[in-house]
Amino acid sequence: MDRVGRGEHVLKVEGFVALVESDGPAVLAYLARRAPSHAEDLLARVWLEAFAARGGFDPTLGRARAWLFGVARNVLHRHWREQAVQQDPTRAAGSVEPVHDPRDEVDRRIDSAALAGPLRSALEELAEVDREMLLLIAWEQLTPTEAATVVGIPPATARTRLHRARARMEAALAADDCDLPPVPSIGGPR
Amino acid sequence: MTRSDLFDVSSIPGLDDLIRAGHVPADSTALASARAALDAAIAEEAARDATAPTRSRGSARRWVLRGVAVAAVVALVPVGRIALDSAQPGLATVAMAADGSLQCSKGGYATAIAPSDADLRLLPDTLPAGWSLSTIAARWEVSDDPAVCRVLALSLVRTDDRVVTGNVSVFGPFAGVDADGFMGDRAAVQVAGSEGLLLDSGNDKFLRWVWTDAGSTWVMEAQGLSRKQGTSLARSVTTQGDTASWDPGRGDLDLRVVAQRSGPPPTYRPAELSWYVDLAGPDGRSAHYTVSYQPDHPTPAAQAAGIGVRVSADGSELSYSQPASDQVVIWRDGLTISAGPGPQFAEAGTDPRTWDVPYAALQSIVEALEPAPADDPRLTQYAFDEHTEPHP
Repeated sequence: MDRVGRGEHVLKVEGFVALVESDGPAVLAYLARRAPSHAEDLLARVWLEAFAARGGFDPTLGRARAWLFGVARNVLHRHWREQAVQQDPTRAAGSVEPVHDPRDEVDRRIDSAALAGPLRSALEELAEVDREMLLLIAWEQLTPTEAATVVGIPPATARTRLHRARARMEAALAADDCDLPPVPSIGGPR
Repeated sequence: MTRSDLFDVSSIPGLDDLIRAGHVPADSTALASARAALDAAIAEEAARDATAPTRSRGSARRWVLRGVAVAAVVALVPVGRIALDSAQPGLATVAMAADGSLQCSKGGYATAIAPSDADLRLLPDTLPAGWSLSTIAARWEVSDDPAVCRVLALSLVRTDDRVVTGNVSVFGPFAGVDADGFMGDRAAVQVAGSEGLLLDSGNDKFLRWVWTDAGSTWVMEAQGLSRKQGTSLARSVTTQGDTASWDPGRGDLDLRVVAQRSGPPPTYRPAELSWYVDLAGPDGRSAHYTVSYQPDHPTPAAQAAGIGVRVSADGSELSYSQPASDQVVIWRDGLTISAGPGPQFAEAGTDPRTWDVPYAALQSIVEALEPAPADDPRLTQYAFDEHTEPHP
């Protein structure tokens, strides 16, 4: 990473390539968890869009990793919109409703891991943005601050939401009389 | 990971199970394929740079949106815009970020100009002990953003003893607003006499509305108002043609109008002069200040201030707000001065001392700013070494 001019923070090509090499598997996994049959194509789109937009990366707002996931999230949402329009061309003209419910893919994943039941119910209780943040933390191993950057909300709001999500998860799991797993050992950047 | 982050994460129930459910096998083929596409793009850019005129370095298409009221939250504007029932030609279509803020950034270009050629040249006549100028650079930045994103149709402010307690911005008219990226609660409501949506991102600070009136789409953003007050606001705002108005008699909101655009939405390309100065301080510390001057699209200071910031009696000026603990901001209509520590590279091995600049030092630097004559020797002595163009 280098700085060009005053106030312009730019990822140089070599810095960008290093980022791709270090975080490529994580971004691919992010896409594979949410759009498994398109992950390879989407990853290429993420690299191309991130490369073109690398001048917009501002290191004062956080690590490049979080920025990269923000780009990936935009690519993913656009992909879902395109998919929805392909299936129903009339959608593009009027609706402002979400065009894809990513919960389907998440639910399939949880089902396949034989974890359906309390955990799935608990996740279903969460608002979409809370759920997305939780998944970014659990699956993409982002910090709450980074997850906030990716979903586009202030870190303080993210913490409030996370606190609320934690309370709802506890309530939902307790209601199912589920034995809580031990406190996870993820304390530290990976 | 910070201590608060650690606390936030460590007690989420069910997290272990969730982590296990997220496992996906590595796919080296997919990685290699995507990497090949990237390598081709890198090679293409390198070939383009090799044949481009020198000017391209100084006028790279990088635009940092500094608008306070319409600051972008995520890096890219979602494409695939969806119009909200609008057929009026010639208007812009914009997108909403996940939190509901407008994303107007469509790019632009910056032309490097010699500091001595800049119309605005602010330098400190004195500096705190141990501090010195490091580099000076200037840019003329022209945006491709729709000017209607910068020039508010209507701006309302509520103050208590000159401290902002609430503000309202009305943006528009737009051809449409893509709200697909918004992540939060939506509710169908009446706003400005039309059917619209109330968007609540869960961030208690903001309420937003989007509605279509006579083929044009409008966006309203309120800060510091309760849902009940928001309902009164939605009833007391009206839109007609290109104009948004507010009727103070409809709802006891104690707001006042600080800006109201008349006539059609502007079509010019917003431009501003940016003035960047880096300073070196004791013990390896560094600081910077930036001056942005937008002569043709000033945002009222009271509007830009945010809740809790003290403004001048007429709402046109604020000084020394502390949006973050390490920043100084001065805002007068059309002119923004911000100062803070030097670059904060979030890379391993960053020297934390560069992050630690006493607030008093920043304040002293900003307070000492004075217009410098074009022949001030500092303008050439500290000029950033780059290719520059004449001021447009």
